[in-house]
Amino acid sequence: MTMSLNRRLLLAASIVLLAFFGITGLVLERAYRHSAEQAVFDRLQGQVIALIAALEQGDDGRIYLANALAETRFFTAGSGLYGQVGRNDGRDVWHSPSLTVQELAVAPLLRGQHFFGQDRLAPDTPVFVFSLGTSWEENTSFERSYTFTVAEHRQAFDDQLAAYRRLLWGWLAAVALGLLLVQGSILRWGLAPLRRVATELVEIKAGHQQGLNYDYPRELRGLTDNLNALLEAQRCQLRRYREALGNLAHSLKTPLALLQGNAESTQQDASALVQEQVERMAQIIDYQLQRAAAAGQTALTAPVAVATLAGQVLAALDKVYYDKGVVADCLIDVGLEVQLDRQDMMEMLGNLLDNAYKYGRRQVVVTAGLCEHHAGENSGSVFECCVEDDGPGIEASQWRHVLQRGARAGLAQVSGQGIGLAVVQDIVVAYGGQMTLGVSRWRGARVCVHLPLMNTPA
Amino acid sequence: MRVLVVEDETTLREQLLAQLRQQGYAVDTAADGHEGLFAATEYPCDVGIIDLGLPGLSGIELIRRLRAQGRDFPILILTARGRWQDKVEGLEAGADDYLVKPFHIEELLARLNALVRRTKGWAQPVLRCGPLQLDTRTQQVSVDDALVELTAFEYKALEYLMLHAGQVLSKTALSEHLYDEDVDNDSNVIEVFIGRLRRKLDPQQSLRPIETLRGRGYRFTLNCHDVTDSGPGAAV
Repeated sequence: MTMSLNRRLLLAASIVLLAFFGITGLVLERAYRHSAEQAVFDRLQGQVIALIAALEQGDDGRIYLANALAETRFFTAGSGLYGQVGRNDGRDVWHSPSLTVQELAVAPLLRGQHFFGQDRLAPDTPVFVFSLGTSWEENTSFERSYTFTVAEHRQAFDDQLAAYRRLLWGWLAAVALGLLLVQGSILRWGLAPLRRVATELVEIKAGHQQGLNYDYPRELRGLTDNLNALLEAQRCQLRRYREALGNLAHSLKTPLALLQGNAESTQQDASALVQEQVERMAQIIDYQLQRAAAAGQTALTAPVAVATLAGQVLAALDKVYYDKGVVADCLIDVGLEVQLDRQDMMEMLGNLLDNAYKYGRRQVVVTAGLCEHHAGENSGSVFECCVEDDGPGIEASQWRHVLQRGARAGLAQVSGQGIGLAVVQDIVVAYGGQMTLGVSRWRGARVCVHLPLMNTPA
Repeated sequence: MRVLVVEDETTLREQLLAQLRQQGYAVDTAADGHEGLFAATEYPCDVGIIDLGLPGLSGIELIRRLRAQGRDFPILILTARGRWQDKVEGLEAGADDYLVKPFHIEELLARLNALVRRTKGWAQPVLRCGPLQLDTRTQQVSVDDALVELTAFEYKALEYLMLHAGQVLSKTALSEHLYDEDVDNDSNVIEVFIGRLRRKLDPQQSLRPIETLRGRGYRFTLNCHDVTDSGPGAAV
């Protein structure tokens, strides 16, 4: 199973957050460490300069403390601040009283040179060391070079750094944790509609509800609306199948009863009756199955190019009615596309045109188009398709009868040639449209279907 | 006239076989698409009856392949579902007419007749060649308006000759298109049969409708004409 959306987003956000805070922390720590070291450097440099000011060279060339030093730590043993001044020729060395254990190992430096680094006085005594090379003039002609060195225990520095680190990482971790929590709750909140869909689907599956009822956000509405349309279409389909099966069962019983009665009485002319009833049963089956197969309106149907479809049907009928030499005109805009089920459309065009070819003499014309229609809530476009022929036409007194036959689906009335119109009528009803009969331009039959088109959600 | 029946339902296939034979057709049958494809390439069909709902190779696919192979004999499709989608698809694939099951055998025969006739260029159901007149609807033949009694087989043979009027038909071709079983080429079955047809149609030997071309075969010689101009149609 693939990872859940929630987990994916959370994981990705966590990785980004951790990387961000990790790098930030490292950079901050480095910068802080650098500036702390700089501070040590400055401080030790200051101490060296103080030493230079306080020490004097005696006449014998020895170094002694001439002036008082402000820094008392030089005089306390083990204070952590140590001073040392050495003649570069190694002949004389001055130690601050705090330096009791041993000398600082320092390389002699020439005048103006300086060194800053770390060292160890003892294995457990890490220190920062700063040395500066100087020279004192002697008798104006002779110079003597000294190296001034100050060392400071690292303890304070390390303590300061550790404190900073604790503070830094503590805060960063706390902020990261907080952000993750916020992130998690944003995700929960953001994905809530999806979870809602899932729960609603479970409810639908369980039969507790008919569709997705919650008012979903815009991004999901396309999905949920289509899902609802699909569910509704499915229900309609199921209902039609059930009706068709019920009707089938019911209406097949009449001819069967007739046949049975005939078989029992074994009277004359059995084959004619059998023939007649078998034919009737076949028609009933055809009619009910075609009726049940009508797809009806769904938002998910791909648009159908009407002219292409009509062209296919006409080409087929031209073959079938080859001998008749019917001239058919297809007056449909090549670019016309409507969102109706392809098979329903084919069935409608097939039946209407088949009738026209059958009853017409030589002329058939099919027109189709969209027209806008405004009626309060239900404004939208209506698909209109008309088929006309030059045959005898349908008498006006018969119109009602013909239309009702399809609508009522009364099976007893379904006979022979009317089945085509009845099938069309049923499809039209499934789409909530209507079929109208009229007189064609050649005074033949004119049959029109009007189907309201579902507005696709934006 | 040789017809190929491709139908998977045994009962229906046997029924069709019997009834078509009775009508004087030479019949080949196949129970599925692949068998049908084989039969169509093996025997010279004049017309095919193909069920759309075949196992294996579907009816539509079979028709497509036949047409792709250049086999252009007319095809009548049988479909159990009366859906227009199926009908249109079948006709687009290359079939020429359809019939929805269940159907009357008379209807099937009439459609079959019309298909054969119109693919040979006859728009009208009555074939007229000189004084000879053959009505494909009633299956009656008359010479100078006097009815001639023919057996179903003789009728079919005459129809075949008239539909191929002016063309030379070899003995082999005739036997292939008229007889169910292979006829030995050396046998004189065809000669005897043509002789009988000549005697029935032209007892006085004044008309001479069928000419023998030594070593090449036979030719229907009477001048045939369609009653009307050939119908306007989309036939290609």
